[in-house]
Amino acid sequence: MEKNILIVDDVMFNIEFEEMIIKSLIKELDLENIHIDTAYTMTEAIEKITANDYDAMFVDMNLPDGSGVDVAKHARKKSSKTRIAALTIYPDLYEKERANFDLFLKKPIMPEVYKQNFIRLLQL
Amino acid sequence: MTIDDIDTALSHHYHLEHLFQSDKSFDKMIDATLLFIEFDELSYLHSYNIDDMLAPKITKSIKYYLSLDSYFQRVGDYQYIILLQNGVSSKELNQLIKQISNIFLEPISINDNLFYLTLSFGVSFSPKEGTTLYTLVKKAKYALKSREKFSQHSVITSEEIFTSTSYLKMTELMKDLPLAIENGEITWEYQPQYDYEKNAYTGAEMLARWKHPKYGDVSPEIFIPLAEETGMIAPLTVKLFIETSHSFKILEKNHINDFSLSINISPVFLMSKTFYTTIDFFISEYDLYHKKLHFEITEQILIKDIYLYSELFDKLKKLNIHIALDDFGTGYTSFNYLSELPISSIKIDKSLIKDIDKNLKNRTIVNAIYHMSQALNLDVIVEGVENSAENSIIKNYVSIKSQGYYHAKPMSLKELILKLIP
Repeated sequence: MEKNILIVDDVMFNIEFEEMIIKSLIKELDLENIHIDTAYTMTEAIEKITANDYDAMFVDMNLPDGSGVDVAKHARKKSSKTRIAALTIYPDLYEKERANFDLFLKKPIMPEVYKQNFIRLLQL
Repeated sequence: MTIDDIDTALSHHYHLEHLFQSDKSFDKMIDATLLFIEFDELSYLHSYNIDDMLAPKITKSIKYYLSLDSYFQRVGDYQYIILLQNGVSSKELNQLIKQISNIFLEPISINDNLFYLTLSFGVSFSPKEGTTLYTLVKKAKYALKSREKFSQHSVITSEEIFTSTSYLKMTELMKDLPLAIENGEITWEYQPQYDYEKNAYTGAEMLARWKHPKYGDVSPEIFIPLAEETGMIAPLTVKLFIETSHSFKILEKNHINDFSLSINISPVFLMSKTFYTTIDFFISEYDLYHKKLHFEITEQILIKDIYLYSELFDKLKKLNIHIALDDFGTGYTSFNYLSELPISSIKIDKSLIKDIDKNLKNRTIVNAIYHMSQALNLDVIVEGVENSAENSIIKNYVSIKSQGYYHAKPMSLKELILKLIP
């Protein structure tokens, strides 16, 4: 099983944190071939989505150059199979964008919650 | 949530409910002041229903100071309200609070037993904060509850009346807290710990700070309890962990090794289901095992469930985490417990250090704590050494460490590094 994952967040510590959580889960579940890619801005994320195929994405809603919603829309347009999680402090604000995402993950991130949702998102 | 708590608590107020239903004259109030009084529960006498025995005496003493048009009522266990109608000046209100506080400086005698009571006040004003008795009680009670969290003093002085005007501020802070944690509005300062023997700083305690865009500096005494109540204490501690591991890395880069960082662990988080897995995650993934990481846990929690924590503390010890008992000397922890739990150090509370050069009683207590700790092989850190007179006493103790303004104030990581590099 091979999975390509994209993490989009403008805060370096957050990306590092998410990577750590995923790596810890990979160890726990003895997963193989999970590749993590990262993007710090909306533009960078869209470029990467155009160039690569991702199975799943964790997208922060609040990016310096735009909204995570646009990243999700772009990814959906490319492939309807990509599973997308929205990361936000206020999930209620994105209620009407529900169709663009497979799940909403509340920030600040907690490792256990993230792991659970990672399993759900990737349907492991 | 606090407001719900208040609602729940209010529903237990049998007297008050009765009052709402029966007395229509309280429907609308203009120019009234409501004073909510709560006595600290005498919990050690729980089974004796002491409150009912005290109530007639309390009522009689307070009524003595009230004018005829004011309304006084016991509304629950240890709780009373006074409704002052027809406009009361703040001077008169302060005067009344002082009078009532003064009553209870003396003990109350029941069946030849003396009871020392401590009490707190909450105030709300009509029409500014509501025109119904229900709203006024709710807001005054909220003011009181907030006040309790802000300060250790149980008797409020006239200058310190805490009104429910802060009610709105609290609601706003509560809403902003997740964003503040996420966006880095909450940061940490480092207060160095001085080792007399080594003549060097060997560690630092990390202290949370919140610079709110509208309210400026918000005290941790406000936002930590708020985080605990709103489920944000775990995310806040997670951020603290990320910060801690980052700080260790920066210290290392500057060749500062063998330096300890102490972080405060909230009992609320400690008791949560995710606590251990979260800690375990950070220790292994962020490579903290070989770092000198200290958890400061307040002594108060040990009074309740000491044996509940022994297993958890053992597990933390296996992760190479040092446990320090914080605020030591303010509670009732027995030294027996200390010998049974895997605790590495105690931090003697600053209230015992203040004026230790003059206060013989405190000096005796600190002396006893110190010698007991030595016997139990525990490190001792004293908090709140603020001047050379206090320092001259403390420095005589062998292998003691000191954290206080006399040696160093809390500072940024950058300033800490500058202080540590010779």
